[in-house]
Amino acid sequence: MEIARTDASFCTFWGVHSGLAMGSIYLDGSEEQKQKWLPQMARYEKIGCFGLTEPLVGSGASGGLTTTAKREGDTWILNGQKRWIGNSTWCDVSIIWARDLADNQVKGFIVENKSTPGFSVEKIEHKIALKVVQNGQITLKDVRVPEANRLQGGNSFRDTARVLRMTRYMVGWASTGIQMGAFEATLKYAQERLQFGKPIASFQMIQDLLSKMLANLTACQCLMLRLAQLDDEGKLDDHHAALAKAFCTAKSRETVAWGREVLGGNGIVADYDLARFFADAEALYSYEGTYQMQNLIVGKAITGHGAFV
Amino acid sequence: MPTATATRKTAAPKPIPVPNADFYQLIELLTPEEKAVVTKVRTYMQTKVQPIINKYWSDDAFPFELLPSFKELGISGLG
Repeated sequence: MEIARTDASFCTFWGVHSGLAMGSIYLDGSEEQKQKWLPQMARYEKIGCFGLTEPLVGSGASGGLTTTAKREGDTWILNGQKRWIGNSTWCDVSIIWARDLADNQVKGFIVENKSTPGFSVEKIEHKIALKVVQNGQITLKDVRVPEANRLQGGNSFRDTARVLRMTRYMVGWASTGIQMGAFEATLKYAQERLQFGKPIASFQMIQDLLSKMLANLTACQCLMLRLAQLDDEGKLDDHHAALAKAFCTAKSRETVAWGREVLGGNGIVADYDLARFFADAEALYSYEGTYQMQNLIVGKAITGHGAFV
Repeated sequence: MPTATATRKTAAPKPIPVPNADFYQLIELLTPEEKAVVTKVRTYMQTKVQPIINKYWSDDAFPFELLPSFKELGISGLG
């Protein structure tokens, strides 16, 4: 929350490395794998990324990954593509999720980006949100990964989902942080900007927008606080994280739009922080599981009926 | 002789509130050690990242030069 209060891209870089990449090894790796990778990643000596999404597979990741893994003795051969992979154009290690051809289950692999033949990355250009994050499209052509680098505890998509639950919860905090940053920047601007000889913060319609922004973000803070308590008690479930991610990212879009509105023309110039918060809120709304997927997860939990397709 | 408009003491102007998004004081729920981490991160973000981030965002670039100092923060724990 505190990192996103200043910048959501920086928070995403940190979240991808710390939550998605390290989190995969922490939750799905063996003791040996944790000992080998986590300390150096914690020191940022090796920086990680997380390759699940594909050019043609986003929401459908649980059922239809096209990246395949074929075991030959003690080596796995990976083939396929991953898209939207934050940090991938420059980082050291990727957690690649692939469908095992033998049993059709999703398995996770630790791949060293810079020293693995067949592994290549192309930067995704012309983004309009989270523009500081370097997203890449990864191509894996007969990439050979030793069994020692297969996440030993990652035997199906259920194991991937445990990582996503944790990071989805973190997006709730990040989108709360964006709202905080947007509110503070908007209020400061409104206190300083004069029209008709008075600060615009003294006008009713501006105060209405500011109050509504604050109400949104305060509601998100309190919701996330309760989620933190559930997490501490070991009771945080997928549907809890999904509700929070959906709600907070949706509120965040509302909040940053009001803030941008207060800044008028200056709200479309990147030098004033609001334009960046405004654009970045869109990415948080869609990534880490779209708003729609989050609500379907909640819908299944509360009705008993899965309505994903 | 008193006039219709009594002399009013000119009150000192109230200070304008500093923008603070922690309206319900969530920070008070933290222990002193946790507060120290929050302060450390906030200070870093405001002094090192804020001044440069709009330019990097506009240029689709990542501020690699911040990695050494970011590492020093020691916050790569899992959330």
